[in-house]
Amino acid sequence: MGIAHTLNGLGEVEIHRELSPEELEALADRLHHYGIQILGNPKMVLVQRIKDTIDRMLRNDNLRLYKISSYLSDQLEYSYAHLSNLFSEATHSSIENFVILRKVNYAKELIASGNHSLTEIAYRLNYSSVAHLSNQFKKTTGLTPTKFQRILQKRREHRIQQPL
Amino acid sequence: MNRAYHGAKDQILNIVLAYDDEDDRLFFQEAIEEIEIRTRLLMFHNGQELMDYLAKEDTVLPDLIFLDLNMPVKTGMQCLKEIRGNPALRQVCIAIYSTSCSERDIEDTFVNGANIYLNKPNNFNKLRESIAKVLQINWQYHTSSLNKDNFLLRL
Amino acid sequence: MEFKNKTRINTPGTTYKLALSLAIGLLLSITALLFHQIRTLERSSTMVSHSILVDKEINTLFSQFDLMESAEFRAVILRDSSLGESYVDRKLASDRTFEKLKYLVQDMPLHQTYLDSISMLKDRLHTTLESMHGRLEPVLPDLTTMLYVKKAASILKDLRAIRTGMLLHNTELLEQRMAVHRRYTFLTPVTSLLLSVFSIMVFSIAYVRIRRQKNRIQSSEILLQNIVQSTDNIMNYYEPIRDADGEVVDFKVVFANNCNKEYLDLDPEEILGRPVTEVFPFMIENNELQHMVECFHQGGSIDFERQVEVNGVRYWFHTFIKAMDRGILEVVRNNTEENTAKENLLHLNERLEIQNFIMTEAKKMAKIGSYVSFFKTDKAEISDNFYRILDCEPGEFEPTFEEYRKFVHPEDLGEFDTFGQWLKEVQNPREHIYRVITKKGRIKYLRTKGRYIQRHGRTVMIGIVQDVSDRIQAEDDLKIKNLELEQINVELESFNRVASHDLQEPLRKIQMFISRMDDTEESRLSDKGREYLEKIHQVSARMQSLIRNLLAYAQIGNKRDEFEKVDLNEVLKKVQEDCSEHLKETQARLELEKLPTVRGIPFQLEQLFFNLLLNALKYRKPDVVPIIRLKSEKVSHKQIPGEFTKLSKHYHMITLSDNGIGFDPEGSGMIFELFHRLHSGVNHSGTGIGLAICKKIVENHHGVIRAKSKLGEGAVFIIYLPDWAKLSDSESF
Repeated sequence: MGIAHTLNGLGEVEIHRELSPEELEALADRLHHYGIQILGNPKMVLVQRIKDTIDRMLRNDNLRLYKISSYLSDQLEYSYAHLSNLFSEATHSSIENFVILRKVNYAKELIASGNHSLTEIAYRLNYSSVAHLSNQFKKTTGLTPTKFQRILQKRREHRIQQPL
Repeated sequence: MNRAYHGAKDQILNIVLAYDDEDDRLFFQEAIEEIEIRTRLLMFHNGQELMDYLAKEDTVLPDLIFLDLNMPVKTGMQCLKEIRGNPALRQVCIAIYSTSCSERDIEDTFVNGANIYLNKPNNFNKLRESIAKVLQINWQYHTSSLNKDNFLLRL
Repeated sequence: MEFKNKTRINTPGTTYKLALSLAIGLLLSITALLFHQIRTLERSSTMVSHSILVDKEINTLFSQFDLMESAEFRAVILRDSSLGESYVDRKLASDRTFEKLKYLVQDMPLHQTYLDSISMLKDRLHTTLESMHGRLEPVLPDLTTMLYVKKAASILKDLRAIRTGMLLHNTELLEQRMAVHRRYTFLTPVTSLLLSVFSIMVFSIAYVRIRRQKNRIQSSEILLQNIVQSTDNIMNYYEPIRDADGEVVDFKVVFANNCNKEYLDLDPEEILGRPVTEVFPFMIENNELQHMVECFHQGGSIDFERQVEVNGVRYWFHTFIKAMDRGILEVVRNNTEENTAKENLLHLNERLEIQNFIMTEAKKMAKIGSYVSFFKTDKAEISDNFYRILDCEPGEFEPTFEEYRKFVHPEDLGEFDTFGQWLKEVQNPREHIYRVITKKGRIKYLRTKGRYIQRHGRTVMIGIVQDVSDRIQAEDDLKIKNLELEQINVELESFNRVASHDLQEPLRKIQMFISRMDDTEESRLSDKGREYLEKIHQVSARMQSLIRNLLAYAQIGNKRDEFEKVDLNEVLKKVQEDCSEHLKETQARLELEKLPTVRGIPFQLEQLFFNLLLNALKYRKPDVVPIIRLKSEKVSHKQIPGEFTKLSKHYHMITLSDNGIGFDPEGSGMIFELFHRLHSGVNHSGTGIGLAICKKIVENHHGVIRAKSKLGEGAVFIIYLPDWAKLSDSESF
């Protein structure tokens, strides 16, 4: 499209000039093909950054034991309270909720990969026990991790039987 | 699909629902109205109507489909299988709304591709909360580009 | 000579007699010949010496004549009469000699003629000489004397001529006799040599023969000895002992073999020479002695059996007695084993007959026929029952493959033929079921199964044919029943489904509307109104719960869900999760021991423990922290109280105990009944179905559940589930 830009390393692209709505739409469209969303306003950007930071932290084994609140405020240079408010306002849901959601989601991924035991996953995600993980998992999804595992497995078998 | 440039508050979730029971439709509608998240709701009386709608070319794909299992003409399960059999509809979240408590049945729906199982509550508030939760989580998945394959929720 | 038997079939005895006669004959004849020869020789010697003697006598006679003449001449010449005495002597001597000669030549006529001549001449000589003598005076010889001398001389000359003739003749005779003598001197030794050689030959042959016979006899004897000693039987030889009248009263043991020692404990050496009545005292008892005497007198042989007791043991002996020329031979055989075997055989035969009979009857009852099939000839032997199965009389048709084929149901014929063909080729027996149409037109299902065996060097197939029509019929009936049952099941399931949905829907709606009313219209209601609304809500909730539980109860055991291996520990984990809220609320403590893995339906087992847990929590003591303990142990099926079908030898005994309010032990039986509630009251909202569900689940898993309690002391629920680990892995039962 010939739009001048710089990548700034945080999943952000700084565009050097104002884009017209049509251009914006077109750009958004194309980017969307790659699963990239354009976040318009700075609040959203921050919210996105919060999300990304949380993701990064969860995925990084070394950062496991960090408290999320401190890590976020460290990384994003805002107070946690500020971040929290902003987040709730924007998404109608708290950071904690989001964290739980992400954790559970990550747990789902790990379970889906089939390579990890629940104990490992619990450890990885900094749960005090498998029971704790199960609890939160169940609270979030309504299913126990074992159940979840079972369903995924059966889905796989099902798909093998019925090639799409 | 036209998603670009939507703010959080400006996001509208397209919800489609197929219930054959009139009262259930009423409850659902009332519940959704009380939820903050903006939605656009379309309701169908049976499975066939739903599938016909989805098959139409210019249809805006819904974010969420709520299916009652016990429907005439085409059951919820049949719809589920058909929808999941259609690669174009892969991204759509499907919520099953049913009275059945049988673990086996619930598992079956998940195995066949449902993302959410909603047990029909007998209390309006609970219904509203459940729906709200569904919308919220769905919204999270949507905005965070989470893997919907692993999106399973039972309420 | 002896006659020679020309026939070939000659008993050795006759041959030997013949040879002997021949030999004796020859010997005698040669001896006779020899004797004759010797006599002849003797005689010829005598003759020779006789001739020589005659010769000598002749010479003597004529010398005497000469001497007489010369003496007289001398006398004449010398005129010496003294010499005349010697003449007389000489004359006497010559007469003597002449007589001698006369005697000697008695048998010689020629000589006798000569002698007659000599006698004449002699007389003339004597006369002359005597006349000469008379003229002997010491005068000169005169003429007469000279005449006499001349006469004497001529007589002498004649005598000399006779002498010569005689001598010649004698010499001839002598020669003849010498010849004969010589001949016989040669022949006689030869003959005697011949005789001795012949004798030696005969003796040698005889010796050799005798030697050979002796050897043969020796070996026979040795053989006999061996036989006698190595035989299993007692072999004794007895000779009779007679009394004063010469009657046989007893027998003496002349020979006894070693078997006596073995069977009767009698040393053969010791019993030799002793009477049998002393050695075998039982002989008198059982008339054996009698038999022996009889046998001896009659000749021939007899045998009989007798029983003898030796050293406390009873034996059966078979005795055989044979009379020989001088005694009797007794052979005794130990028949005990044979007899016992015979008896056993008889018994066995009897039993076999009975068994045979039973089997025939059983075959009849089981509708089994049997056959033996000879493939080479396509023929078979089939049992009577086989005929009867086909509604035929035994033997009614010839049991060939073709004939039998006629009975096979036309629809099954193809398969039947294929099967027959396959059997011939592969020769590996297999089971086969096919239909036949019997003689009466009935259709029966026959099951045939055979096996290959070798019989008399041939390969035959033996097999049985069983009328399984009943079984097939039963199977068909069963299939139908099963289908019906499945049908019913399907209906039941759909009923369930419908009931579960359609019954509950209205209730749910009621609830929904009530809650809606609560939200929106509450303010407009009066207190009473709100109260009533609340009651409606409660009651509907209750109804809902009831229906749900009832449906759950009905569904247990409906679908034959497959049993799988279920780890109860996992089940408990899940149950804990499901109950987590309740547990938190009540601050309950769950003490779990390791639970076993059982076979069952996971959903149901979860339900079971969920219900039990909830139950325990529900009936807790209000101010006490509820403690629920779960433990498990293995027990034998004998330790389980009460009657129920025990499927396994071992069971798991799972105990769930709580420290709640307990219940009256009298109600421990009824606690599991549907809708039964031991505690009334609002606090304990129960549908009365929970435990009934538990019971049904446990029974569905082929176990039992019991409850024990005392009021105020908590309750104990004991679940017994079979330990499938000890059985095979098959699920069907």
